[in-house]
Amino acid sequence: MATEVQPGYEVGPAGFRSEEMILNMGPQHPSTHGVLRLVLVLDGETVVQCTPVIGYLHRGMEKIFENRPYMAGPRYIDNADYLSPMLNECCYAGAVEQLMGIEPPRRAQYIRVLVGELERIASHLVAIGTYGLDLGAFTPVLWCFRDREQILDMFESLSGHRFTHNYMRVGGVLYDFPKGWLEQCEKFLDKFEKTSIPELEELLTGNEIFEARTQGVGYIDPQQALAYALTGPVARASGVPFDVRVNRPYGAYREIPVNIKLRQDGDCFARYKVRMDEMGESVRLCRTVLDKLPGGPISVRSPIALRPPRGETYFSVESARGEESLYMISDGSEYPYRAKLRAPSFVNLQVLPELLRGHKIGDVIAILGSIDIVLGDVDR
Amino acid sequence: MDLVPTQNTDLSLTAYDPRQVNVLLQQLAQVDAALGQTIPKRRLTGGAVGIEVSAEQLLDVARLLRDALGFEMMTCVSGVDMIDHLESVYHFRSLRNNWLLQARVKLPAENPRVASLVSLYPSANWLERETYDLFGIVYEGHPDLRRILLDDDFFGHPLLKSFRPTPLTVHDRATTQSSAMQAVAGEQQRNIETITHKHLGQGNEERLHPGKLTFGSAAVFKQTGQGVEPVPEDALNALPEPETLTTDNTEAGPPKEQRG
Amino acid sequence: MNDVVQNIIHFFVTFLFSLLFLMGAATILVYLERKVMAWMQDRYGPLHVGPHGALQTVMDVAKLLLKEDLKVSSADNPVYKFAPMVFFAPVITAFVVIPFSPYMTAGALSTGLIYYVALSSIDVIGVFMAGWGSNNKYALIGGLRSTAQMISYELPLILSLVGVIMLTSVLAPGCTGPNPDLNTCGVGSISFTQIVAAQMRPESPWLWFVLLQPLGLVVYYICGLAETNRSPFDLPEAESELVAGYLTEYSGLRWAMFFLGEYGNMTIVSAVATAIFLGGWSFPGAAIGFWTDHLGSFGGQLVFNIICVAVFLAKMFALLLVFIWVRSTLPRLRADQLMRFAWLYLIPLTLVNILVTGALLLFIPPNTLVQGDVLRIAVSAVVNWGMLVFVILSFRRLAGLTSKGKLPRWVRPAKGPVTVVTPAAQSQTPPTAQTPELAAGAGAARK
Repeated sequence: MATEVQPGYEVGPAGFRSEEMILNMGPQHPSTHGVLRLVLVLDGETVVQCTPVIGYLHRGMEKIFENRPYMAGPRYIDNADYLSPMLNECCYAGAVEQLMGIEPPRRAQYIRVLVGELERIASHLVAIGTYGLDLGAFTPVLWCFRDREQILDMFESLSGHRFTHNYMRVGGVLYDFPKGWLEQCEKFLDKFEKTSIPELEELLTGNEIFEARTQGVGYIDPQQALAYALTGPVARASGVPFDVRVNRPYGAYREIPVNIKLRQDGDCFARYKVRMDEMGESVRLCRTVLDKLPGGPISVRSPIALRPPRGETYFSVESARGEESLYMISDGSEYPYRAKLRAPSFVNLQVLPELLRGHKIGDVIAILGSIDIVLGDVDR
Repeated sequence: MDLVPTQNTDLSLTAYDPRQVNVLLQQLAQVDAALGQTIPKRRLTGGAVGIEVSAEQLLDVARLLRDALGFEMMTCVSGVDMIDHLESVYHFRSLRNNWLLQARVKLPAENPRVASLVSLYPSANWLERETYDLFGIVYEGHPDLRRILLDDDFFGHPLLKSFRPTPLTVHDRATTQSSAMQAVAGEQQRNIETITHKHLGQGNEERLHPGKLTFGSAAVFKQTGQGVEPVPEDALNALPEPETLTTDNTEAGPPKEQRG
Repeated sequence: MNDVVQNIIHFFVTFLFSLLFLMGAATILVYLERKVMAWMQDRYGPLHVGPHGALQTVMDVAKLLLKEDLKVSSADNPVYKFAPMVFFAPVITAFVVIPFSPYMTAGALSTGLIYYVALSSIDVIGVFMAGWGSNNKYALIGGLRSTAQMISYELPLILSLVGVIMLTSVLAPGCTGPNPDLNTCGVGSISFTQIVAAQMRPESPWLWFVLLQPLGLVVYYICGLAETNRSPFDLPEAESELVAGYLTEYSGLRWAMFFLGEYGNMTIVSAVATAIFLGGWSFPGAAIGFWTDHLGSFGGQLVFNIICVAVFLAKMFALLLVFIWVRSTLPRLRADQLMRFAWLYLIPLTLVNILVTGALLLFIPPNTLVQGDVLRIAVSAVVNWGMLVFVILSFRRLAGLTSKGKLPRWVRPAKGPVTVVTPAAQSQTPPTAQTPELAAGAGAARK
C-alpha cells in the first residue's frame, strides 16, 4: 500500500518511515548554562538542525546605560558577563577614559591588570568545572569552585563585593589594596599553580573518556572562526592568533607582554586546553604585576558628574570569553548618548548551529560547554 | 607548535602604531578608486579609522574591504538613533595588519533600509538581527530577520529615542490561573485544574489598553465569579470602571512614580 | 497442607528479608555515597540530621514516601504507573539467591546464576515502560538509550561469568582425590552455593576466583556499572543532556522506587561479584569447626553465621565503594561510544577469555607434571592475568573510544582553501528579502 509521505517524514530503504523529532532543550535545562533555549530537530540521536532562541535574560542594558550617568555604568555592566565583572568594568572605564582623553595613573592600570587576570582565572575555572559537569564528571566543578572561592574572597576584601564588584572608576580604581592582600594573593597564586592546576590536569586532561568525548568534536576551522568573528579561547583554539591584549594592548598591557596560548586542533579539547593554558599564563601575568607594581595614586581627580566631550569611541578589552567592546557616543551631557556593548558570548554563540549539525545529543552539550557562553552576556 | 613568541618588541606607552593607520588610509584609496568617488575618512580615537558609506554602496564597500584590503572579521554592528536619521555602524578588524575600521551608514528615520552583510560576513547574522530588533533597521537580504532579544509580539523598537514604555498603571496582571482558588491545593480542585494560556499578542494589548480586563484575569473572577470561560463582551461592558476595582495593588499605596 | 503453609511462611519471610535488606542497604549506601564523594571533593556532605548527618537519607526516604503522587495528565496511564513496580520487583526477587552465609540463603536455587541474570534483565522493561509512559521526549530518549545499553551489556556480563563456571568444573569440592564425585566434577556449576564452595575447598581454601579470573571480574564490574546505569555509563539519566532521562516525570513514591531499585541493583551486582569472584564469606575466622568446638553447637553456629554475614557485607561494601569512586572520577561516555565499547570490545574480549580458558582446560590434561589440577589452574590463571595486563596497556589503542588524530568524516577539514558556508542556505526566505532590486542597486553602484 503506497502511503503518502508527510513532510518531515523520511522513507528508508526498507520502506519504514521515520519521523524527525523536535526537542526543546531549555530554557529550563540543567546544562544550557542559564536560560538558553535550543530547538533541536533530531533524527534519532543525531542533530539535523538547531535553532538557538535567546533573549530570556534581556534586561535592556544598553537602554539603561543611556539613562544613567557615566559614574553608574560600571555597576550595570557588572551584570552583563556575570562571571567576569572586573573585566567588564575595565571595558566600561576604559571606553569612557578614551572618550575623555584621560589616562589613569600607572598604579591603577597595574591594579586593573592584576584583578582582571585574577578574574580571568576565576572565569576559566567556572568554564572548565562546568564543562566537566556537562560531560558527567562531578568532581572538577567542586574543585574549581573551591579555588574560585579564594579569588572571590580576595575580591570581597578588596572591593566589598564578591561578585558584582563595582570597583573600577573612570580614571582609576576605587580602593587600594588592604593590608596583607598582596601576600594573600601571592600565596594563592603559588598554591594554585603548584597544586590546583596539576590536579585538574590529572583529573581531566589524560582521561580516556574525556578525550573521547572532546577530541574531534565540534571542529571549527580558522576560516570559519574569522568569518563568524569568533574571539577569545574559541578562536585561539582554532589557530587564530587574536588577543586584544596583544593586538591592541590597553592599559598596563602595553608594558607587560602577554603570550598568546594557541592551538591548531579547533575541537572541544583544544578549547578546553587553551583555557587551561591561559590560567597558567594569567598566573604568570599576576606575578609580573606583583613584581612591578608601581606606587602612586590609584585614581585621577575627576568630577562626580563626568561630561566627556562630544565624540565617539570603540574600546575593546580581552574578556575571558573574547573581545568585549563598547561603542560609546557622547553628546557632551552627563549621560552616554549611546553605549553599544559588543558581547563576546553573543557573537560566539552564533556558530553553534553550524557546529551541531551531524553530532549526537551528547555532543550538543559538549560543544555548547566548550564555547563557554554566559547568558547574561548573550542577552544583556 | 603551541606558543606564539612573546611580542616583547619595544612596547612604548603609545598604544597604537600611527603608521599602521596611515597605511590603512592609503589603502582606502583602492575603495575610492573602485567606487569612483571619495568617501569621507577620518581618524578616530584608539587608532581606528572611520569612513562614511551610503546605503547603496555598503555591499560593494564591504566586499572590497574583505577581498582587497583583507578585513577578515566584522566584529560589531551597532545602531544609533540620531533623531533626524538612524545610523548603522559596522566595525571591521584586520588581524593581519592590525587595523580597526568603522563604517557608518546613514539611514532615513522613516523606513530605514540597508543591505545585509550576511552573505559576506556570517557574523552579521545575529548582530543585524539585534539591530533590527532594537532599532527597526531592516536589513534587506538577511536570511532570517526576526526579533532576537525581545518577544516576537513586542511593540516598538526600544532603543529609539522616541520610544516610550507604556505607562506604569495599576491593573491586574493577566494570569495563567483559571480560578482564584487554584493556588490552594485541595482535593476538590484537583480535577478541574486547567492551564489557560494567554493568546498571542495579549500581553501587548494589555500594555496598550491598561486596565482592560482580559481573559483569565483575576479581577474578572472576583467580579463575576467567572474566568474559566471567556467573559462575553456585553458582560465586560457592564462592569464598573477598572480604576474603581479594589485590588491588592491599589490597597498597598499610591501608584509608583514614573520616571520622566 | 502443611507444605502449603510452610511455603507461604517461607515466601513472606523471604520477601520481608529481601525488602528490608534492600531498603537498609540502599539507605546506607546513599549516605555512604554522599559522604565519600564529599570527602573526595573537598566538602562536607550531609551534616545536620543525626550525628554527622547519618539520618539524612532516612529523612530523605521518609520525605519521598510522603510526597504527593504527581501524575502527568497526558501520560500513558497504566504503563506510567506500572513501570516503577516492574523495575523494583526484580530487584527484590533477585536477592533471594544471594548466599550471605551457609545458612542464610533465602532460596538456594541450583540455577542461581541464570536466575539472577534473567531477573536483572527484566529491569530494562521497567525502564522502557517509564520512558514510554511518561510522554516526555527526554524520557523517551532516556528509555531508548537505556534499553539499548542494558541489552548490550547483558551479553558481556553473562559471558564474563562463563570462565568462572568452566573453572568450577575443575575446582568443585570433591573433585580431586581418589574418588571424584561424578555429580559435580567435570561439569561447571551455576549454583551460587557451589561456586562459593569451590572457592573454599579444604585443599585450596584461599583460591578465590579473582585470582584465577581477574579479567572476568573487571569485565563483570564494568558491565555491572552499565547495567545499573552508573557513571560513566549513566546515559539514560544523564542529567546534563536529558534532564533526568526516564525519571523526568516521576516524583514521590514512584521516583523513590526507581531510586531504591537502582541502589538495590548496585548492591546486587556487588553481592554477586562478592560471591563469585571474592570467595563469598571466606575469610580468616569464618570456619565453623573452630566456633562449634569452643562455643558448642548453637552458639558456635550463631557466631559463625554473624561472622560470615559481616565478612560478606564488608566485601560487598568494598565493591560498592569502587562504584562511588568511579562515579566521582570519570566523565560520561557518548551513546555511540557506549555501544561500540560493548559490541566491539567487551564481547570479543570475553569470548577470547572463554576460548583461552576452555582451550587450556582441554589441552592440558590433569596430573601433568604435578599431581592434581595444579598445573592447568596455574597456567590458566597466569594467562588470564597476562590478558588483563595486556588489556590495561592497550586500552587506549584498542577500545575505540579515543578518536585521536581521526576526525569524524563530517568534521574533517577539507584540503586546500576552506569555503565558509553561510547560514543563508539553511533558513527560509525572509519576509523582507528583495534580492533582485538589491543586485540591481549594487550593479548600478559599481558603475
